[in-house]
Amino acid sequence: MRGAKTKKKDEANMTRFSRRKFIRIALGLLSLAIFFGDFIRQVTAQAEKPDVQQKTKPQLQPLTEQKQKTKIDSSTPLIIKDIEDPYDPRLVEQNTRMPEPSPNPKWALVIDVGACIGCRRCMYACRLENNIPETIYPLWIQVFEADAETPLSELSRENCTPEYTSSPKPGKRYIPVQCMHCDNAPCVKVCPTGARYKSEDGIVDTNYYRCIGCRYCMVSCPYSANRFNWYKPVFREGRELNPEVPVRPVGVIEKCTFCSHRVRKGYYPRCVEVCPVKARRFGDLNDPESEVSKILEEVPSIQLLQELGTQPRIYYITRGVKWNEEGEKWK
Amino acid sequence: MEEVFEEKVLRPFYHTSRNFYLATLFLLAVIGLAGYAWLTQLTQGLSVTGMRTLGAGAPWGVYIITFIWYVGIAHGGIAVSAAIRIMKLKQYKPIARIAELITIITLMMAGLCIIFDIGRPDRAFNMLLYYGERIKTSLLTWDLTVVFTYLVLSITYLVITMRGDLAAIYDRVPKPYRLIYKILLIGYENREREKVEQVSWWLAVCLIVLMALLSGGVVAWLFGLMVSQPGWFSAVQGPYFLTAALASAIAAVIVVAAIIRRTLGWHEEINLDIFKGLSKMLAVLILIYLWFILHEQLTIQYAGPIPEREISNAMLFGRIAPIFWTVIGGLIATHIYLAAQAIRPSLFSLKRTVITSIVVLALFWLKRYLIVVPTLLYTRLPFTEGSYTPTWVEWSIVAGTLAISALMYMIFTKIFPLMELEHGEET
Repeated sequence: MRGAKTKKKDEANMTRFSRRKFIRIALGLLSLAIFFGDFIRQVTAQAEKPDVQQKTKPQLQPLTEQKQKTKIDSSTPLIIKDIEDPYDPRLVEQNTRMPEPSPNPKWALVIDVGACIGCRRCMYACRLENNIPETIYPLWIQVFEADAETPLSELSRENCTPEYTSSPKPGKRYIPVQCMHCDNAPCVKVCPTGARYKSEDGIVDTNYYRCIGCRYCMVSCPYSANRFNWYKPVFREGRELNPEVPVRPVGVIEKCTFCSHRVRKGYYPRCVEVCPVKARRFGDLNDPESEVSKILEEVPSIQLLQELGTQPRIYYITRGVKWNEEGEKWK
Repeated sequence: MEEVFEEKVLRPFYHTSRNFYLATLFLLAVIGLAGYAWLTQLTQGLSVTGMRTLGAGAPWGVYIITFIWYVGIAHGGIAVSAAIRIMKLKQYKPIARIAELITIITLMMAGLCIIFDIGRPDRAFNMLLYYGERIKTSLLTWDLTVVFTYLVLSITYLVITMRGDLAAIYDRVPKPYRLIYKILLIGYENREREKVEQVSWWLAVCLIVLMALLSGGVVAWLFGLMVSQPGWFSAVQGPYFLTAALASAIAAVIVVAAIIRRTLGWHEEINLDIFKGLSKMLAVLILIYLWFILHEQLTIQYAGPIPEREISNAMLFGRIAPIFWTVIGGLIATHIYLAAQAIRPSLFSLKRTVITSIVVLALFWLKRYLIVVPTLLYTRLPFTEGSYTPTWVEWSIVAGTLAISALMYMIFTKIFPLMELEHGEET
């Protein structure tokens, strides 16, 4: 009985909660939210500024501490003798124009694992070309050393490693791996913001200013091609940055772009340019006369993990023979 | 009789024990630590966590594990409440709102875990900006949809079922509360009761159906659809996740209900039969879950695709074996205890049941670790085996989310009636 009475009274009370009051509260909450959001933005903006050219030693510490096992990064000398320092700017000084592509190019890369000597020049030249900071590990390109008789479809941790310290070795072959620029790219599918996208020419690229850093692309990629900026980007002292490529801020994903900034201007990607044994061939698949189209027509090729249906744009062939430093055939 | 009951419901509004303040202080301290940890993470990047790029470590870690754990509890929590409503299990009614509240709070914490996990929380809004174009294929956008749909539905469900109670006790609650009550009671009329019964029944049906699609769907698909990752790509992930969700939710309901029963002295309302029923259900679900693990591991070991077997071997015999066998052993032990208790009611003890439930919750967290991390340590291409050790930042942030949920729960008990009042008898 008492309940019924109170409820009547409640109904009268309810109407007293006016619209004005509601708006006041809502505005208060909104300004709080804006203030908080701005605070987060400011803090992260601080973190965003790259620390270019600071003291080398302490800055590099996190890398060595994180990976004592793998010392392939900067301590390993290059195999070709004329350039020993992986940071040698000569790695990125050549610029060769590609033949004119078809109006609607479909870029593809052919890697000859028969010819590859595992010198890692592509890896280091790529680092210089694309402003990959010292805080990124592994680099965009990884080169694996495998037993020569292992088929490319059966690479496993038992017969294959990225941690070799000298090359080429007899009975081994070298398999460079980077972003495959898949036609059915899992990373493009899963990206929640569209920061990862497939361009019209087939290059899978990243919008570093839209990426929220969820790392789902990294998790979804069978080739482990994505790299995340866990740290603020740090560059070793005296290193010159390439003005054509933006430095990625902390908290976003990056990966091989097929050097889209070069390719779209008509130059070969850096890794193709720098390969001393011409194990990398780059070109337009829509042009039947292009180098890559002809190679793929003549030589049997394989794509890595093609059974997963990602339709990668990097083809592996075994055609070439290895050459040694003096220019003689190497067995 | 009803008067006494309402007194009990109203009591926490007026009486606050010293322990409550102590607990609040403690929780605030933990939240403060988490805030400091987050600030560290924001200023120094995610490098302060133990996560690393594939080929060097696991790109997803404790945050994602905790996210799945929370989502599981959340989805199961409302299922408990909805089942009580749909099947009119009157006996369980006292825990209905307790379970709903668990759902809402853990869902919020799940969302928070994602914010902690992403590299650019300042841009999280991009997910909404590009929602329209990404909803077609992005599993993460599906997940966002799911979490928000579920959150909106469960808050609606909680509020509409609570309005009658709020109106009934309106003039007996402390004055400062009345503003909040007024907001929640906008447009309330006494005759809406009957309609609310209908609406909430249908909402409950929706929530249960959605749960099968969401907890046993979208969240599981985050992993099950990743063809690239051995150990994840599997059609069984849906039912697997759903079972885990229900089991951990029931365990959470047992723990929370027991704490409330003790601290608020609701010994008659939340009676032992409720716990007996819940623990029976928990026993069955644990058994089903073990059965799923058997299926999964047997398929991999027998058929033996190399990348899958590498991960399975690491779990069964290799370096992750200690965690795997802890989970298996723990689940078997908890099942045996709960089953024994169900067969022989004389063995029942609330204390032991609560301890078992806490163990179950911990085991399901560990199981989520086994889902997320090992797969990421063993990449499909022969990159170096990674390793992952969470840092203090990750642990403090996760502890922080637990503290926030506990605190939110405690505050709720001080402001709103935690148990549905009996309206049915009124004329």
